[in-house]
Amino acid sequence: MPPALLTTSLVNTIQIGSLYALMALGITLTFSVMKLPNFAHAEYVTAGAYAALIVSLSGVLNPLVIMIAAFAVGALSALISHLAVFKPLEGRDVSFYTLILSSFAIGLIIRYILFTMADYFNLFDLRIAIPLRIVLRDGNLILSNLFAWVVPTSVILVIILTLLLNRSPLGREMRALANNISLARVIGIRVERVKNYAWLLVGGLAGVAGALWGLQTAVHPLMGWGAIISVFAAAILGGLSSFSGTVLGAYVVAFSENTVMLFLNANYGLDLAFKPAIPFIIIIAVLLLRPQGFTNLIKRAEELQR
Amino acid sequence: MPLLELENLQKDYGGLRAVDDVSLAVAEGAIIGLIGPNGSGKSTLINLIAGSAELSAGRVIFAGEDISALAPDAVFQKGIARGYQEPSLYFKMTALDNVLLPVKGQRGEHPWYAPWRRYWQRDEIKHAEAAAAVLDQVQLRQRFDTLASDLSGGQMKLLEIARCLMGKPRLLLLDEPTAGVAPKLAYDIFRQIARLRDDYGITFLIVEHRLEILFDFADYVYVMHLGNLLAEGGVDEIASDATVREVYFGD
Repeated sequence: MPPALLTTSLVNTIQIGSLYALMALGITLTFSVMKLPNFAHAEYVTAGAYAALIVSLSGVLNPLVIMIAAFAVGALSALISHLAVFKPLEGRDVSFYTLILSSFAIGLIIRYILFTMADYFNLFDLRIAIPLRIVLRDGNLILSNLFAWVVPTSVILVIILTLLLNRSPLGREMRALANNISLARVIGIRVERVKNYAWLLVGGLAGVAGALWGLQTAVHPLMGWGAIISVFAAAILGGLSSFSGTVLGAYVVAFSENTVMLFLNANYGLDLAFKPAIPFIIIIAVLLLRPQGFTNLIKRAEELQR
Repeated sequence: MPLLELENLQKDYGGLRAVDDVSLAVAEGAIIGLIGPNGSGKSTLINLIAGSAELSAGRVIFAGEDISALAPDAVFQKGIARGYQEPSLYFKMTALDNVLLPVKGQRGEHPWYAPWRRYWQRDEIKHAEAAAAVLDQVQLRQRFDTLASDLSGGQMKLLEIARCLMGKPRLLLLDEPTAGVAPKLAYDIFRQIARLRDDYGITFLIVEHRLEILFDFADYVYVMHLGNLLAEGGVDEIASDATVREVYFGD
C-alpha cells in the first residue's frame, strides 16, 4: 500500500473514530442506564446535523453556536422519544424486544419527519458551510481545518462525559441506576429525573456528533442510519458497558473500515464495496467469540496498574 | 398521635393472601419489634410500608398523611428509610459514595452544573462532611474509601444504616439487621440502633429472628402468623404468651 494512502487512511481513522466514539458512548450509556439498545440513536445524529446545517444556512457561521444548536435539537429529540414512547412502554412492563422494535419505530418517525422537511425546503446533500482550509501539510500528511475541529471537539466531549460519569454527583446517580434501579428508588434517588438528564446528555452528544459529521460530508436524512451499524459495532466491542472499551472499539471499527479495508484492497484486490460488511463481521465475531468485548481486558489492565 | 399507622393492610399475590387485615400503630421514638415464623408476611409488610409493593387494600398513614399510593423514592423523601435482610448496597462504589447517593438537592445532580466541578465542589464537600459524620456514627469513618464489596458482613449492615441516616429519616424499617452477622457484632448493631433512637429520636420498626437480642432492646413487639397479627404487647408479655410460643417455638 502506498505510504500516501496509508497516511490518509490513518487520518480518516482518527477523524471517523472520534465521531464513532461520540455516538457509541451514547449507545453504551442508554444501554447501561436505561437497559435499552436504542436504534433511534442514529436519528438524533441526523437531527443534530440538520439543526447545524439550518443554523449555518441562516448565516451564523460561529462553530460554537452551531454545536449548541445541534446539541439542543439532539437532546430534545432524545428526551421526546423517551417521554412519548419509552417511558409509557416501560410503565406497561413490556418485554425487551418490544422496546427494541419501538426504538426502530421512533427512529423511522424522526427520519421521515426529517425527510419531509428536507424535501419541502430542498435541503438534500448540502454541506455545513465552513470553508475548507489546509492547516498542516507535512510530506504525505495533509490535515484540513475539519480535522482540527472534529477530533479535538469529540475527544474533549468524550473526556468531559467520562469525568462527569465517574466523578460528579449526577454520574454517581447514573451509575447507581445502571447498577440496580430498584435500590436507587428505595434510597430516594429521583430515578425519573436522572433518566431524563441521561437522555438529554445522550441525545445532545449525538446531535453534536451529527454537526461534526455534517462538516465533513453532505447532510442527508439517512446519514445517521448509515453509521448506526458501525456505531453499534463499537459499543458491542465495549461490551455495551465499558466506556473506555467503547472508545477503543470506536477507533478499532474506524481503523478496520479505513486502513484495513484499503490494505485488503491494495494487496488482495478486495473490492471497496465490501466496506459496509466490516461492522457486521465485527459484531458477529465479537458476539460469537467474546461477548463481553473489551470489558474484562480493560479491567485487568486497570488492576495491573494499581 | 402515632408516627406510623397501618389500617387494615392487605396484600394478595394471585390467590395467596400474604398480609391479611393487619392494623398496627408505631409511636414516635420507639423501637418496635416485628416477629413471626418464616413466611408469616413480615417482609411483605415492610415492602408495603416502603412503597416497594402495591397495597391490595388498606391505608398507610405516616405523620398524619396517607402515603399508601406513593412510589418508594417519594416514601423515602417523606422520611421513611429501609434496610434489607441481604445488604443492598452499590458494591462497586466506595462506602462514602454509597452514603452520598441519597442526599437531596445536590448541585452536581443537575446536568448543566455536573460537568463543571467548581460549581458543585463546595456543595459536595459539605455533603461529604455530613456523610463522614454519619459514617463516624456507625464506626465506618476509617473505611470511607473502601469498596462496599470489601467490607465485612456486619459492616455492610452498618453502612446500610448509615445510608438510611443520610436521608434524615424519622422512621427506619429494618429487615433482620443481624442476619448473617456474628453474635457479638449483632449486639453492637442493636446498641447502635438504641443510641440512634436516644440521640436523634429516630423510630425503628425491626423484623428480627434473634429474639434474645431483640427482647433486650424493643419497647413493643408485634407477632405475625400466616399474614395475620397474632399478638402484640410488651417484651415480657410476648415472651410468656402461650399462643406465641406455640407458633414460634413449637411448644
